[in-house]
Order: sequence, then structure tokens, then C-alpha cells
Amino acid sequence: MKTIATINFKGGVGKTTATWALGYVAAQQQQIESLVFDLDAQMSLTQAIALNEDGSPFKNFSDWYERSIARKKTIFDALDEFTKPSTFNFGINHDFIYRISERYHFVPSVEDLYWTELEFFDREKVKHFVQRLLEKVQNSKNVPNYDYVLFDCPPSFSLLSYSVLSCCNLVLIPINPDFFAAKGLSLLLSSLRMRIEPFPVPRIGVFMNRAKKPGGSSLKRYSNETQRYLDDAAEVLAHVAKDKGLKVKLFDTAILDRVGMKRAIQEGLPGDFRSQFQALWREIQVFLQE
Amino acid sequence: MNELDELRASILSLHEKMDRVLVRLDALQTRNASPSRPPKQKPSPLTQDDITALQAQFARLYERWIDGNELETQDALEQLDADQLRRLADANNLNVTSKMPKQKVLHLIGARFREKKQLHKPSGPRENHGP
Repeated sequence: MKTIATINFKGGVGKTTATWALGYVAAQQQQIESLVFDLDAQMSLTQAIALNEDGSPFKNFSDWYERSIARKKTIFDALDEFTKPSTFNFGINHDFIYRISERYHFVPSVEDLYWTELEFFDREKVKHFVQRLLEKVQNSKNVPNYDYVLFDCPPSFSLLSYSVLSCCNLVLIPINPDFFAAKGLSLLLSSLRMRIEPFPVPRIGVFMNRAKKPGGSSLKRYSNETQRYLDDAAEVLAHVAKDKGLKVKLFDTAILDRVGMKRAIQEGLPGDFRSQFQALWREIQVFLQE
Repeated sequence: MNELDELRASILSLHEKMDRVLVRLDALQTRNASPSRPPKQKPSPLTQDDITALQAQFARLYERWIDGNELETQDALEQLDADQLRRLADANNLNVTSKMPKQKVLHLIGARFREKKQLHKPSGPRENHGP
């Protein structure tokens, strides 16, 4: 099981759509099972799925979600159980994990996750929560053996995202073609190692999301602006790799800006968008195996 | 001379007059035309080698600028003509047009230098402030 955490301090860079799309294209591969966690208390991914009442894949989600909450089988219930002094006794089944399609499954967020940022939980203990939860998922006979688990993290070092970062194989950082994204990347990478240690720092992969094409008859691959900030990101990554000894990669595949990108979760991935994410996914798989 | 011959002679005379007028018009047009300038040479598109060289030049200029030699760098840039500056900017992914004035290009390059400086400015979190 390989785990990927999508994170960026900056909101609105496309974390949710990217996590969703990568989980989707992963599950399109033969015999690959993928699981996506929404760990963001803003519940963007969960709401995108819940609001798709007229689309066939998720039409039963709302009923399932209510049942999951009633049976105390949400991610918050798992965390609550984990932080009790007693043994971590949380059964994994399809009340906890929703089946979007045969091989693409989902653990939604709940509003209660806001409480995790308050001081009610043992912060030291929570660091180990995701690792223990994944062990339970892996050992459960009620759910498949997932090949890939992806986490849509909140745009901050929340307790839960910290717990994910402490055990994931890859930190995936989407950036946008603007100065703040390049600067934010520098800030994020500077603090990642410090925050994660003494746990080993995972591999760090960065990709450009919402890249722009050049105008007119230009033969350039991207617009000047996109290329400038790609170059800046490469420079930041090279510096971090050298200075902090981290294993980093700027993926060659960029996801092009597209009208209606945010509706992709509800309406399905358009063909060109899908092929871009497939290319990115292939690069991610290679990087995970290096 | 019958009437038909008279008409033919009149038409011929009119044609001769018109030819003379056209010759004079041509002469006037040639005289009034401005001395022809050689067609403006369009700058050749940047090759990959040009881009690599211009990016290296840009990086050297930025290094000099960030090392505190701002006036010296500015002088070096101002010594380039508008075309050279536009090619330097274009190779470094700055949005320039073929007629952009020199001062505007200089302004764009300066803005990019300041942006790169801001990017490299250390602003990471302080040590020992982990959770």
C-alpha cells in the first residue's frame, strides 16, 4: 500500500480536484484499488460528492453518509476511539468506507473534524493515528487491499495532516502559476522537515496545476508566466534538495487550466483532463518506485 | 474631310492629351514619393542556443544586481539597444511585444529581479517551533 498526501498551505490551488482525479485514474488501471480520504474539515470533496444528487455514481451517498454518522463510523469517530486510553478498537467496514465504484473508494470528512484543532486531543498520540488506522484498513477482511491511499489534506499543518505526513510515502504539492505559489512552496518545504522529524521525511513531488498555454502562434510549451513560475519552483526544489537533503521532484506533467475544472468531480473527468492526470499519475508511480 | 474623319481626329488628339497628362502625373508621383527606406529587418526568432545564452546572461546580470551592484547592472542593461533588451526579456519568459519601448522592457526586467530576490529571501519558520 502506497500513501500520498496532497497538501499546500495556500487554499484554492486545486488540492481536492487533483486528489480526486488521481485516485480516479489510479482505479482505472487494471486490478488497482484506490482509496481517498477527505481530511479537510471544510469538506470540499465530501460536499462535491454529496451534491451530485442527479449523477448516478453518488446518488446513494447521502443515505450512506447519514448511516455512517449514526453508526459512529466516521473518521472523527475513529480518531475519538484512538485517543481513548483503552485499546484502539475500531472495526473497518463499508460503513466507514464508501464505494464510489468497484475499485475507487472514499472516506468522507465530517464537520466534527474542526474539533481536532482544539486542545481536546493528546497531540502526541494523534501523530500515530493515521498509521494505526491504515494498519486496520490493511488488515480488515471487509474491505479490499488498497494499492494506493490518497489524502486530501487541509491547507495547514492540522493535527490530522501532521499525522498523515508522518507516515505517507509521498507529499504531493500542487502549485499554481503565480508568485505566491512559488514563495509558498519555499515556506512549505522549509517547515516540512522540521515538522515531520523525527519521522522520516517522505518524498516530495510538486506539479503545476492550472498551467496556461501560450497565446497566439508561440511555439512555447506554456505561457511565459507559467514557465517563469515553473522555473522558480524547480529552483526552490533544487535548493531544498541540496540544503536539506530531501528527495524531491518537479513533475514534468502540468495540468492545464480549464473552465469547469471544479465540476469534474461531479460531472466526470473530461477526456483531455483525464489524459493529463494519467500522465501525471504515471510519473508519480515511477517516483514512488525510484 | 467628312464628319467621321473629324471625329476620329478629335479622339486621337484627346488620347494624346491624356497620355501627356498621365506621363506628368507619373513624374509628379515619383518626385513626391519619400526616398525609399530599406525594409525594416524583422529580428530572427530565438533559437534554443540563443535562449540558453540569453538566460545565462540574465542570470549573470541578476547575480551582479543581487550582490549590490545595482547601478552597474542598470548601466549594462541600458547599453543594450531595444531589440537586444526585448530578446533578453523574451528568452527569460517576460511578456514583451515587438514594439515595446526600451524603458518598459527595463522596467519588466527590474520587476523580475525584485521578484526573484523576494523568492530567495529566507522566510522559513524558526527552528524549534514544531508541534
